[in-house]
Amino acid sequence: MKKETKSSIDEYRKATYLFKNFQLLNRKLKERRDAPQNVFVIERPVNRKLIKEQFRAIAAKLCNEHHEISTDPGIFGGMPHIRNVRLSVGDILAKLYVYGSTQKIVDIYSPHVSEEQVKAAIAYAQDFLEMACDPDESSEVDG
Amino acid sequence: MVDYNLVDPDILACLDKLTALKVKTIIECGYSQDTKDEVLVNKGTVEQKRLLLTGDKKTITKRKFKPCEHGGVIVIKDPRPTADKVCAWMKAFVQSGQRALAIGHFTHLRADGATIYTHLKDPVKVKF
Repeated sequence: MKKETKSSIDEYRKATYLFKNFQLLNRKLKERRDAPQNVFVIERPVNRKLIKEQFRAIAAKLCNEHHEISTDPGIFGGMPHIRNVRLSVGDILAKLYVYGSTQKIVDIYSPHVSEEQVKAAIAYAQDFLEMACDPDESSEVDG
Repeated sequence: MVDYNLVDPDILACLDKLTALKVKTIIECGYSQDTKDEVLVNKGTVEQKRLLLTGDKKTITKRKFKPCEHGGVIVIKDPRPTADKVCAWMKAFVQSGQRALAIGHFTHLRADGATIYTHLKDPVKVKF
């Protein structure tokens, strides 16, 4: 009878010990989870397709304001380019970077490209950047 | 056949010296300045029996225009190609001994070498 009591007490102690250990382990895990320095935030993958669609929508919208620029899916896969010319807005900026003046671009590409078209491409690029990188209204500081 | 976005007197003069064949722009080949990509690559290169040299690295891609389905495309992989760069890279490619492989295939030209995508799984890499 004594032996049975002893064994049941041992089992109780063992169970308590395990339970305490389990509690301790849980607490440690929770601490580790809450600790900001140990947490690596895995961001949700960005939907690039959606972002591209939004940019394309902005590009198409800006074409209504800049009549010299158009987007045609057949030319440069829909990238904004000078109307009826295989020169994208990006190409114009690259050439401006290389040559340093709009006049040189006009000299090379005349009579297909005029100075107004080159300037329109630069203005388009500026408008596109301002529209695409426009901060939310909530982030604007009044006054 | 030089695409409209790479038309530059310096580039044309330099490329003319590289090969015996006269280098022509797309306009000299009879295509207008607003010709679509598909017409230039699929029709133009085959009809003219010429390679298309373009700076359009975003939309004229090997996925869209698969190797062996056109006359051959060489894409200059540089965001702001200058006449010096294009000439130096083309000269290095011509002298590499692999220029014949560009016919009918898709070639990416960079400062350190060229990658020729053929019908085979692995592309041919040429180092300059």
